[in-house]
Amino acid sequence: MKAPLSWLRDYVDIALPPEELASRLALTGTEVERVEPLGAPEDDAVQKHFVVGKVVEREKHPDADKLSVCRVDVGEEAPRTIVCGAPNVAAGQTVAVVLPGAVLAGGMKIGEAKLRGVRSSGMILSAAELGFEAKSEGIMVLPEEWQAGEPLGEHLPVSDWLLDVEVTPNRPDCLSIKGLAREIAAITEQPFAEEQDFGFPVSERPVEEDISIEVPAPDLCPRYAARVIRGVTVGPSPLWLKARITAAGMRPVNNVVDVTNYVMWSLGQPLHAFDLASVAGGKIIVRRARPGEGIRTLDGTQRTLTDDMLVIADAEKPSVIAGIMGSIDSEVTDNTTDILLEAANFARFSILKTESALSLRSESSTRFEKGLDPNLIPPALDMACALLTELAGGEVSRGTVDIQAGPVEPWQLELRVARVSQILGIEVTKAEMADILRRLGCEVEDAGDRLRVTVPTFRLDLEREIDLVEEVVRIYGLERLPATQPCRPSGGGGLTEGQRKVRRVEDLLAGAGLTQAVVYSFVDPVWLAALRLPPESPQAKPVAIRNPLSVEQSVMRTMLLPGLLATAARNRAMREERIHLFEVGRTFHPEQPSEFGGGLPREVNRLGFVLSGPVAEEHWEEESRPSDFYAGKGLVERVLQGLGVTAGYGRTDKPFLHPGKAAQVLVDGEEAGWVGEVHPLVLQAFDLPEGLVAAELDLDALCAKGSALTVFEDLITYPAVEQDLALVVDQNLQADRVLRVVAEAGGPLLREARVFDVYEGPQVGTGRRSLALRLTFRSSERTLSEEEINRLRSELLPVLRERLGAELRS
Amino acid sequence: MSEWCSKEATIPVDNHILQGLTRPDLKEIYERGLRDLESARTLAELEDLRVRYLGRKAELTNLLRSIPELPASERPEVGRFGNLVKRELEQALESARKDLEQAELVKGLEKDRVDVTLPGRPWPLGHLHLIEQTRREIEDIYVGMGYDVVQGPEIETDYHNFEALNHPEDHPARSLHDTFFVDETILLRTHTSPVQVRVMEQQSPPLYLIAPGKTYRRDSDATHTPMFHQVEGLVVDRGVTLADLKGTLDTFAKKMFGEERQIRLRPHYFPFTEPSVEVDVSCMACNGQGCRLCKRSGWLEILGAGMVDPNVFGFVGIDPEEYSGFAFGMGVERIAMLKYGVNDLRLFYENDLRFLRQF
Repeated sequence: MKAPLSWLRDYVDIALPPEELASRLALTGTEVERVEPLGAPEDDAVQKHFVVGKVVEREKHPDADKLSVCRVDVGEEAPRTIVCGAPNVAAGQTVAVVLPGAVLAGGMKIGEAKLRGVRSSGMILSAAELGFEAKSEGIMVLPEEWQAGEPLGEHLPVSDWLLDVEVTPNRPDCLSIKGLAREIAAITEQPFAEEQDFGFPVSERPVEEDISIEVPAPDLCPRYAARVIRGVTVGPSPLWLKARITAAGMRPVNNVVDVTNYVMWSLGQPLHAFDLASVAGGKIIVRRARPGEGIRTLDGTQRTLTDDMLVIADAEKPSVIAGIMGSIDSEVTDNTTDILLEAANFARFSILKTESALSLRSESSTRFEKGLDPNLIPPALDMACALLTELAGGEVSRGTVDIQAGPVEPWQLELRVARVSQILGIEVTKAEMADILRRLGCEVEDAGDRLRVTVPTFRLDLEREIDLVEEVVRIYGLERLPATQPCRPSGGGGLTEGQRKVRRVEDLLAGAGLTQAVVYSFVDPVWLAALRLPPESPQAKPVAIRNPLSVEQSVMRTMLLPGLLATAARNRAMREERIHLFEVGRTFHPEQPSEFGGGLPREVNRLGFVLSGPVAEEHWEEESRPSDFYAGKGLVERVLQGLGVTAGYGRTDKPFLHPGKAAQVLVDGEEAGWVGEVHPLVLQAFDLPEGLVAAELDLDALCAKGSALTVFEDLITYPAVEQDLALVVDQNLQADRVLRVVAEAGGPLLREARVFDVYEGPQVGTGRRSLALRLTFRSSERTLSEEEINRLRSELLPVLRERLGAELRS
Repeated sequence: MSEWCSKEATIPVDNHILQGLTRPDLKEIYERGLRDLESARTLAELEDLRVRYLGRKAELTNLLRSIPELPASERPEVGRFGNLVKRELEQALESARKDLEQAELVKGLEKDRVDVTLPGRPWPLGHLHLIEQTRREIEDIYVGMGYDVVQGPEIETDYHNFEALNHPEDHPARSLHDTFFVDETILLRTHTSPVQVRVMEQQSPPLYLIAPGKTYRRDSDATHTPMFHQVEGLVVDRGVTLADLKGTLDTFAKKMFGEERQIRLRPHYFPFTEPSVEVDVSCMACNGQGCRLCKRSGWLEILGAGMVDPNVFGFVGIDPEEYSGFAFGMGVERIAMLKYGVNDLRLFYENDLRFLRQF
């Protein structure tokens, strides 16, 4: 909301410099986005160069067709010679003159100048040059009664300051010059001046003869009032009005429209002026739109309405979308002579819904959507009638049509004095509280331990005691509050075990050279197809967003993989060779119930990573290995080890993975994730080169599994003994199977068995391979002897031969 | 002559050991042997000396071997001192060998040199995302102040995201949030505040918690991303005041941005707190003097906060006459941008490794 200081001064004396005022407003809850000078710089040396002048003579410039040489009386001994380029300049005019030595808005300095050989000592101003309108056709012609040599600033705002304030949605009263001025009066402790009574000529003709009004939708329109003004002459507004309308950021249109805008800006009550001649049947009906009913709004757009939208209609058609925008057909034109002036109050909920359904907002609707005081209507109508009859002539028909459910009266609240310090943590005296509330327009009565506060109807936001507490501290000053700490309960606080585990996983991966990505949770549905997911798979049925920003961000991810692949591809396009990324984030599963209930989809914390390019950075001394299946599996093992979880690995047929180089990760027999090289067709779809390994793990499941506490085990008193065993087995026998049989047959003293070497080649024969196992034996009661170990080892061999067809490698 | 003298001086002729020795040949073997061993410069020389003095054909070996043939009167002296000399020479040999071995090792090491300025072999080091790092910093500050860290769903009900936070359906504050909807009543949470409601539904005061997480708004331009991160804070206890909120946030600002930082509170409006405030921290770039970062104001907005609105307590069944509380919410990206000087919000979500690897 743009507020010129000169306009605010209609209601309150402002002595503070504009920057300081802005800061006071900010610290009391009215944010000021900008403070900027309007017009010429505001100092006396500049001001005295702006004067009223009378054009005494005008002649054509001898050497330029479009220039005039004028003799202008500016109250000095002799008239000055001023060269002017405006087509409309003429002898006898009263004009605005700026003399050499002045500075215009934007910093342009005025000096003596020679124009095509004629010396010009000053300049005749257009309205645009003073910022009163965006573009002027010629110079400003001023009222004749203004005297030559008078300072222009006595009549017009030559210099001003503009405050651009951001009003919070609870304070629609501040979306007006008057409301802001009231706020300024309260925070600067200045008196606030209400307007004088508005007077205007009233005809004998009762308004009921001009118009009849029905409100069949009172739920959406709590108050509707109208007056009729007959015999107006539509024309341009006077300069002062143009200046204010322009300064407020609006465009001057004509005197009627400008007055309705001026009143809205002054008081915060939107008005609408109809050309009475266009109101069919002389009848206004405030009703819900009929389904499919259309209207062409002032912005030139044809709009189709629905039956939950409120319209102002005449006997035939809707002419305004209530509170939002009028139709082109009912607009006031240059030929309009009779005006129906509407001031109404609409339900904010309905305005909000209609605005959002039509994607249409206006200065009027941004006020109605926040809820307005219905008691603004009478003064707004009075002010508009006074201005209109003054500027456009005409007479106001007698009376007002005013339809309302019931009057809104000021209400009472109680403020317990003790409650204020209980909430704020500082003592504010009863007298201070009462003073603050009175300055804000409340009536306050002392009732002992409490204040009885009568709230004016323009403060619809003050409904409860706590609202008054806020008003008190807002004006009292938050800077006066001490900085204290709440009494924390003893022993509270900390991360949960699960939270610590997630951090550990992230640290493990970052420690292994992976960089963390944070990817949007919404993805492109095309990606699901690119992953070759069959349509019936749960991953291919994501939560869809009804109103996405774009189709590329229209469904919630069911896997981390696609986002990571897209991120890898983007980095690849930036010529990154080694792309090792991980992400920890949620996936969303509509087919599973959420732990939070309420029909929400299940959210799972997952860990995902992708590895592309060499495992390590380039080095002068050694060649790095590529990121292959075993690189990925090693990382998965690292994560699981970090979480204290043991897992098994089995083949998997996930459509997005290489069929031969992928595994599901099994924890307690249930799938807790997968790791594998990504299918070349998927990589093609994401513009990635072949040879990328990825994994995803269900972090929720894994964090729930790992043991919370490691209990000490003595591994030192009776040390472990290691024994190596090279077995030749069928090439297709999986290592996992061998290890399982070894574990079963090894007896309780066999603590660990792992594969440390694999050999395939002529030494073991075709179709066979050798697995070198390292067996770790340990007893917690004695040191194992050589003979005992040898016996255990030799007992193992026949079992392995029988169950696996394994031979000892010679 | 001088060489002789120096050797003479360095050989420890232990008169005590050889006291009573009368045979000059043994004494001579002893003294010459020690001198020669001392002067050996290589292990090969030393081996020659071993053969010469202690080998099977050495003078001393021969002498010892000949003991049975010696006159009985000489046998004790030769036996005793001969073995003594042998042991002494063996020890000297061993010690000389050690010295020479060490010297040769040292000499070998001198030649075994690498270019220490070439790069070491890579042990890959990755990076946590700056959002994660910042979130952890925030969490750790509040955990240190005795807060718990809790989480809630990112896809939320309209009730938890709006209604129970005092945004009734006809409330204009709803229009501040450009909301992504899943259906009529389910949406992507627009802030982390619904976690407040969920916790208060489940637990009784005292509550001291923060709730970090992802949030979503339908807005995308240079200063907005449709997904972003917030940390919500909630304290509910007996006698909690607005001054307590100020002190808590002052502590946070100092720990996050440095001890010299100040905060200021400005009144504001949020539907679920009353009184509501916005909180500024004194600009870290200019120390509050006014610069481009703070738009010459000396202050940077960092978060919104306020006292829990009694209506919110009403929704979750907490008596506002018995308990009071405060809540605050901050944008993780905003905090990270201010702290680390990141000048474009979108960098956080482009995941360009050149950006991520900086932190």
